[in-house]
Amino acid sequence: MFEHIISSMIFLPIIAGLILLLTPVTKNGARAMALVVSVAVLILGLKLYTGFIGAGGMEFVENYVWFPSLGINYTLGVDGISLFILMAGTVLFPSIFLIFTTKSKGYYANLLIAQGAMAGAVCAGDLMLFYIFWEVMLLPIFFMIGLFGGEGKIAATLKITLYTIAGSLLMLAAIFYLGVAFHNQFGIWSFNIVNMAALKLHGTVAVLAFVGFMLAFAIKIPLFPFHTWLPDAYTEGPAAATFVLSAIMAKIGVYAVIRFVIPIFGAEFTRYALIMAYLGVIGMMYCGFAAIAQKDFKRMLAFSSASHMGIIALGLFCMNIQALTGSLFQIVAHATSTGALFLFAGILEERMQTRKIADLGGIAGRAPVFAMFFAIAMLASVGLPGTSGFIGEFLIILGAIKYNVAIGVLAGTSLIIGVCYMLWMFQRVFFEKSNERTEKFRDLSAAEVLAFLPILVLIIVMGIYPQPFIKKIEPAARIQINTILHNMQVADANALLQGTNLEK
Amino acid sequence: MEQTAHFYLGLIPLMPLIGAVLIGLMHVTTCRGHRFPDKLYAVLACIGPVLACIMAFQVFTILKTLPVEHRILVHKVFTWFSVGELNISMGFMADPLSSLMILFVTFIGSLIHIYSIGYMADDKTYAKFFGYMNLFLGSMLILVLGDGPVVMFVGWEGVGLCSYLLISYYNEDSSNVLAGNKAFIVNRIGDLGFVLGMAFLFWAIGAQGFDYISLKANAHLLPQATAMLVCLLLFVGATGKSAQIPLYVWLPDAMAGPTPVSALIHAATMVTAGVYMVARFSFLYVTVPDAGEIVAWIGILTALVSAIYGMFQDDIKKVLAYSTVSQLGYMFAGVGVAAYSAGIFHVFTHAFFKALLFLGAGSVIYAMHHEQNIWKMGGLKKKLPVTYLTMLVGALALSGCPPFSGFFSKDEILFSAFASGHKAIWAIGVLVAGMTAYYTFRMIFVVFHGEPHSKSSYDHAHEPPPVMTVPLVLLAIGALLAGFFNLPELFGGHQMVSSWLEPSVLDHHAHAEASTEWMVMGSSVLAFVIGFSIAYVKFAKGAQLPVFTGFAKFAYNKFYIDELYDMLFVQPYKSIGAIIWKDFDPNVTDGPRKAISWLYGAIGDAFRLVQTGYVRVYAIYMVIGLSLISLLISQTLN
Repeated sequence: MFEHIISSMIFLPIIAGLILLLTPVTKNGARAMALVVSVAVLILGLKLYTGFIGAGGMEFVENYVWFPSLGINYTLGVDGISLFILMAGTVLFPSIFLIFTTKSKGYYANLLIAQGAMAGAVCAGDLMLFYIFWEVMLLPIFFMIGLFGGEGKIAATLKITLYTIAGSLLMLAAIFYLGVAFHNQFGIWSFNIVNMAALKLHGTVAVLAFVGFMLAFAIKIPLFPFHTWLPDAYTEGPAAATFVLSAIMAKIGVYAVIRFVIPIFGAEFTRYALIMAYLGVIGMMYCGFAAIAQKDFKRMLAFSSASHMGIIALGLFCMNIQALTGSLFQIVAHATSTGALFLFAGILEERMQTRKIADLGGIAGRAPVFAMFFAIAMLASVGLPGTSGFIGEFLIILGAIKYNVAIGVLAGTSLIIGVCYMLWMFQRVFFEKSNERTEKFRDLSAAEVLAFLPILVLIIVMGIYPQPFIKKIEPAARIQINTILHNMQVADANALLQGTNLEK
Repeated sequence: MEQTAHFYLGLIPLMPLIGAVLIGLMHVTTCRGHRFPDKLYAVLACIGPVLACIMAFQVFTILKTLPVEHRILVHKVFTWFSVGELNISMGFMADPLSSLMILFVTFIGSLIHIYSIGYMADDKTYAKFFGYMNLFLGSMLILVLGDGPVVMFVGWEGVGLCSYLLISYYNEDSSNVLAGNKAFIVNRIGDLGFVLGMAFLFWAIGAQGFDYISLKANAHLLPQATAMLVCLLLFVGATGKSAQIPLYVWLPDAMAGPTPVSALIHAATMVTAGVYMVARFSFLYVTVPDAGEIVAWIGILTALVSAIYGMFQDDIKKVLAYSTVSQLGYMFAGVGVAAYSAGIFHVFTHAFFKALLFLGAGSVIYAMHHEQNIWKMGGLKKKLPVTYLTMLVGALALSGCPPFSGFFSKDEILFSAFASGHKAIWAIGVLVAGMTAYYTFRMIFVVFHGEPHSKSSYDHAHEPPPVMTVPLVLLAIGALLAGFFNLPELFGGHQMVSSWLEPSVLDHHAHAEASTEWMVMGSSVLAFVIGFSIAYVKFAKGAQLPVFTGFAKFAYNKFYIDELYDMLFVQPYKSIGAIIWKDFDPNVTDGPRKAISWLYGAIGDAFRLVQTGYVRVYAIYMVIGLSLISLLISQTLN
C-alpha cells in the first residue's frame, strides 16, 4: 500500500464515498465510516509527510500508461508546492466529521468524494488526469450546496456552477490545444506536465490558451473580478461545503497557476504578471471593504476569505522567492485560520439558528472556550506575529515591495483592512451584552475541542517555528522562480534582438 | 558568566509568557466548573514578572562587568524563517540600551502585578486578567530584547493585541470594546509604517543580515533617500505605538480598561516602545538629521496639544493619559534632536512617576467605588494619606519640580534642544512644562484638597490594603530618586545613564557654557513655579465644576479630532463597503454574467414570438421557406 501512497489517499475516500451512496447505511454509520476513512488518510498523509525529502523534485511518483494512443498517463507525484495543499486537506478533514452531525449520509459521501478528488487534482502529473479530478472535485460541492444549503441555495448553486463550468470548459479547450501543439512540435502525443514545459508557444493562440487556463483558475481562487459567485456559495452552502471550498479548493486554483501556468506559459505569465498582481491586490482591498458592510457573519467571512486569497494570488505574480514561498506558506495558514473560522461560523449558525450579526452578542461570557478558539483563528487571519498568518503575509508584502512599490504598499494595507472588519464583528458577536438567544449558547463539547485542537496547534506552531515547513516549500519554489527568471531573460534577449533588427 | 547571561536572555521574555500560557490553560479548563482559588492565580501571575526582573538585574550586572566595547550579548535561539536572502532568527540581544529598558520594565511591571492582586480582588475573571497582563509584559520584553526589527515586531504587535484585550476587558459595555478596537486599529496603521520601513530597509541592506548589529555595520551603504524613507516609515510606527500626532487618539480612550492596565500601558510597556525604537535605530537617524527634525517637531507639538487637552479634562485618568501623551512628546523631541540618552532617560524616570500616578489614581478610584470624575472627589487627603503623599511625589516629578526625577530628565531634553540650536522647540517645551505643572496640580488640588464634593462616597472612602500601598511607596521612592542616576556634571554628577547608554546610541553631544545650563534650568523651574501657582490660586481652596465655553469647550472636546477622523476615515470606509456590496458587485462586477443570462433570455423570448403554436402559422413558415429555397435553387441553376 505504501508504494501507492498517493493513490491510496485519493481512492480510499472516493471508494468509501461511493459505497456510502450505493449501500443502505444509516447516517451515523456513514459518519463513523467517514471519520475512520479520513483518519486513515491522515495516517497515510503523515507517513508521506515524514518521508518527504524536499529536494525540489517530484517524490512518491506513480506512473502508468493509461491511453497509450493519446499519450495520456496516470501520473501522480508530490513536491514542495503540492505537499502542503495535500496535507491541509488531509489534516483538516477529520475535524469536519467530528464536528458536524447532519441530516443525511449523502453529506458525508459527497465530502469523501471531494476529499479524494482534491488530492488527485493536487498530485496529478498529467493534464488530462488533472482535468478529470478537477471536475470530479467540483461535483460534490454543487450537490452539497444545492441539497443541504440555506434559503438561497438554488441561486447560489446556479451561479457557482455557471462560473466554474465556463472556466473548466475553457481550460479543457486549452488542454486540447496544448496536446495538439505538442503533437505538432514533437510528433508524439503527451499530456505530461513536465513535457509540456518544452513546448514553444507563441502568437495569439498561445495567449488564448493562457487565458483559458488563467480564467479557470482565476474563477476558482477567485481573483477579482471573478469573485461574485463566492459570497453566495460560501454563505448559502452548508458549513462543511464552505469549509472545503475556502480552505482547500480555492488553494487548488492557486496551486494550478504555479503548476501549469508558470512552466507552460512562461512568456505570457511574465508579460501579464503585473496586471494579475494588481488584480490580486485590488481584490484584497475590494473584498476587504465589502466585508465591513456585511450584516451576515458567514457572508462577512466569505468576503474576508476572498480578500486573503487576493493577497495569496498577489504572491504568485511578484516573481521573487520570498513572495512565492510566502504564498505557498499562506495557503496552509489561510486553510487553517479561515477554515477554522468557517467551522466556528457553522457551529454558531447551527446553535443560534441565525446568521445575522445583529442577533448575537455576549457569547464570550457564555462560552469562553469557543470565544478563545475563535479569537486565535481570527488573530491568525489578521496576521498577528506568533500565528501562522504573519509569516506568509510578511513574506508576500516583502516580496511585493521588491517587485513593485505601489503594489507592495497597497498590499500592506491588508494589515489595517483585516482588523477593521474582524474586530467589529468580534465585538458584536462575542462582546457586548448577551440576549435571549445567546444566553442559551452552549460552549464547545469535549469532542469539538478535540476536533479544533489540531488546527489551533498548527496555527501557533506554524507561527512560532515555521522553518521546518518553509524548508520543504522553498526548493520547489526556487525551481519555479528560476523558470520565471529564465523566461524573463529570454524575453529580454528577444526584445534586444528585435531592437537591433529594427536598427538595421 | 556570559554563558549564564545568554541563558537568561531567552528566559526573560519566556518567564511571563509561561505564566500567561499556564494561567490561560488553567482558566480555560476550569471556567465552567470548579475554579482554582484566586490566590493561586495571584502567586502564579507574579512569579513570572519577578523572576524576569531578577534575571534582568543579573544580565545588567554581568554586562556591567564587561569592558565597554564588549557590552553586547546575543543569543540566537533558533532560525525563525529563512527564505532566499532573508534570514530571520528568533534572537535576543542585551546591550546597554535594552538591558536598561528591561530593568525598569520588569521592575515596574512586577510592582503593577502585585498592586493588581488587591485592585482586581472582586473581579470575576481574575485569572483572565492576569493571563493578559503576563502576556503583555512578555510581549514587551520580546520587543525590547529582540535582536532585529522583525523580532521587535513580534513584541510590537503583541503589545498591541494585549492592549486591545485589556482595554476592552469590561467587554459588556460597547464603548470599552470600541476603545479597544480603536487602540488595535490605530496601532495597526502605525504597524503598516513599521512593516514598510522594514521592507525598504531589508531590500537596501538586509541581505547581509537583518539584525541590529549587521544593520548598524551596513548602515553606511544605505542611500540618503532610502534612509530618510525608512526613518520616516519607522517613525509612523512609533507614532502609533507611542501615541503621537496624528495617531495619538487611541491612548486617552485606553483608560477604559482596569486602572493597573493603564499603569502598565503608560509606564512600563507599550507607549515607550516608539521612543525605544527610534533610539534603537539611532544609527539610521543620525545619518538623516532631517528625519530627526520631523520627529522632534511632531514630538513637541504633540506635547503642546495634549497639554492643552490635559488642562480641561475632568476624568482623573484622562488627565493622566494626556500627560503621558505630552511627556512622550518630550521624549520624541529628545531623540529627535539626537539626544537619545536624554530621551531614554526620560522614559526611565517617567516609568516610575507615571506608574505611581496611575496606581495612585487607581487607589483613589478604588476608594471612591469606581468614581473617576475629579469634580466628585475633593478633600481626600485626610482619608487617603498614603495615596495622597505618594501621588504628590509623582505629581512633583511629573511637573518637573527639582529635585524630583522628572526635573532632571526633562531638563536634559530641553537643554539638548536648546544647545543643538532648536530654540523654538525649547521654548515650546518650557511652555508645556508650565502647563504640565498647572494641570497636574489642578488634579491634585481638586481631588485631595478643599471640601468633599460627594459626602457619601467621601465617608466610605478608605485607604486600600498594603498590597496596593506598598508598590505605591516603592514607586514614590523611585520617582524621587531616579533622577540622580543621571545627575549632570553641573551638580557634581557623572551622567551615569548617558555614559551607560553611550555604546548603544549615537548621541549628539551639544556643549554649552555653564551659564546657558543655568539659564535653561532656571526657565524650567520658573515655568513650574508659574504653573503650580496658578493651579494653587484657582483650585487649592476648593473649586466647583467649571462650565466650559469657547476655547475651553473646544479643548475639552479635544479639538473634535475624533469626530474629524470619524468623518474622514471611518464613515467613508463603511460607505465604500456598502457601495461595493450593494451596488458595484451586483451591477458591475457581476455584469457580464448577468448580461449572458439576459442574452439567453432575450434569444429565448425572440424565438417564443415566432413559436406561436398555431399550425396555420407554421404552414405559412413552410410555404415561405420552400419558396425561398426554390428561388435560391433556380438562381444558382441559372
